[in-house]
Amino acid sequence: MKYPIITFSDCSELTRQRLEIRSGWEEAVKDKTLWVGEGKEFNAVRVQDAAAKARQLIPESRQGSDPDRIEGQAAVHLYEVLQDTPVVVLDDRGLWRWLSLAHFWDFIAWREEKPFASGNHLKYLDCNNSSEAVLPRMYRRVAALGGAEHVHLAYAIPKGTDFWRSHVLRIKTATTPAMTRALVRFQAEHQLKTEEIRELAKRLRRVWANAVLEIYDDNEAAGLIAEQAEDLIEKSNASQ
Amino acid sequence: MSQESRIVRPFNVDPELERIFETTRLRFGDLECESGSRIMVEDSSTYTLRKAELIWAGEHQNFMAFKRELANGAARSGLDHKLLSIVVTAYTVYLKMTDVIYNQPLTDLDALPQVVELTGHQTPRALQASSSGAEVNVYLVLTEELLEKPLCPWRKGTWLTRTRFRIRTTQELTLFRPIPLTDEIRRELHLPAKTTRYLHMGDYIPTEPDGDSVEPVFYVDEDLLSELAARANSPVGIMLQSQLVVDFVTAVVAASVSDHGPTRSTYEEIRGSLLGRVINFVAPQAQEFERNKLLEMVHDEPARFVAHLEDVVDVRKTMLESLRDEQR
Repeated sequence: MKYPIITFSDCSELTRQRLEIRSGWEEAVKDKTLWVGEGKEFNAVRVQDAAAKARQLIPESRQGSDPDRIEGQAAVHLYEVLQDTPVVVLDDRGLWRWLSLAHFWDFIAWREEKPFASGNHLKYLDCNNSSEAVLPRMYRRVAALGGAEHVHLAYAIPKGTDFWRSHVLRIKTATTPAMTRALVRFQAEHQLKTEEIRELAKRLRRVWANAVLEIYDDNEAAGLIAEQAEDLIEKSNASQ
Repeated sequence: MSQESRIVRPFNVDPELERIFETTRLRFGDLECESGSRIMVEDSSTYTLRKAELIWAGEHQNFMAFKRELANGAARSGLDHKLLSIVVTAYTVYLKMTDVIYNQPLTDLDALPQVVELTGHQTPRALQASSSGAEVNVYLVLTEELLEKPLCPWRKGTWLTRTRFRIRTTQELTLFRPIPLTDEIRRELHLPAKTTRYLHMGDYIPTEPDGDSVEPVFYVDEDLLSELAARANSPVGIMLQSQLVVDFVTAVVAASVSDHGPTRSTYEEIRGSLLGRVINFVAPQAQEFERNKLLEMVHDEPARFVAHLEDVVDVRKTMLESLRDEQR
């Protein structure tokens, strides 16, 4: 596939330009875009649509909004346009930089408003870390759930920033859709508190160390999570 | 010799069974590696075209012994081998994707072929990631839930033994990973108290393609490293990171020159070595003859090679931006 990329150094320079100068930025992005690969061309028009849908999700006011849930909804649009893109292309960080700078800047700047204000914005745009940078982490959220059939789970957890980052995307759970689905369903139903979900994650890590959970189906994954959470729930119920 | 590390398991597995995959090899196109080691793919354009295969044991008679040992080792571990399966997964780090690419129950050991093709008619997703490479893990796994018993495997999915292969690419972003340099390490390595950076080569030969020896470790003072992590995207943070790249490469070049002695190598001969990776980092798009010229420069004028690196990393820009930022 022939697809657009932006290099790491150009990303850093363009980001600075966007924050400091603003004018002529779109042209600068076009100038720095390189097309690599061969064959069928990457469908940039569909990406534009997904970016427009993501922008429409941005609320007028942050008050009372749930940015992570909105990220989950936007992730579905992003995943829809990228799901047939070859892995060899998705594995290229340059593509994610191009998507971030050429189409999703507004959404990313809204989602990471605080780091943008403090100048700590590059890691959300340079796409070197797929659990931190906004677009790869959005794509990976839906991919971790197993794709299109399960998209509703991408926004099933209220205020789920820490849940997705610490308990799914950065750890092994994200590699196994049955485990991710089971954990999301469990948390959506039981709403474990921060300390409880951390304890559950710790217990699951111990099981992962000795078992190949990639072979579990949905029922087995749900059973394992229920088993590990049993006394956590008992304690939680007793305290209520 | 295998480099596989072992972790302490909460149950006992027969020691012979534990070592069953030590003779397993991974073939990736024309490259091959042994249990616990890795393959370096230099030409990313061929990555997705490569056939991946696992080869159990070496000679055919060894393969027969391998199969017998699977059954006997399981019995000595207190398990019926029919409860076990060989599971192979492929994982790629950037997209954090794992595919189960082979699952052969041991119910019928005769059905186990000596060479297992992992790519088949469609290459698994995790083996298509030509920028990040992949990790292929081979496990002997319990496939049924048993009654829980102390010191015995009982949970479905529990692995009795495993091995790992890594497929690395030259496009991987990480040339090195700095490790915190603590007072304890300084003492251990006989370094002065205020040392901030040190490349510990150990017995590693920088011009030798990946072998059995442990990779060199690039230590950076722990306080400096944590400050750097907190301000990684600031001008001074970026400047320090580019300087660390220069320091690392300078140390590799120095070690290569002192190691090299009177003989000369071509790039082809050091392809896959640490110095080969450094040359690839300095000139990722270069032709073979250009890489040979850079290699000559390492031998004849190492300081000039470092000057080339400074250009690639653009140290000047990062230094100026850091100084200008200070004045604001």
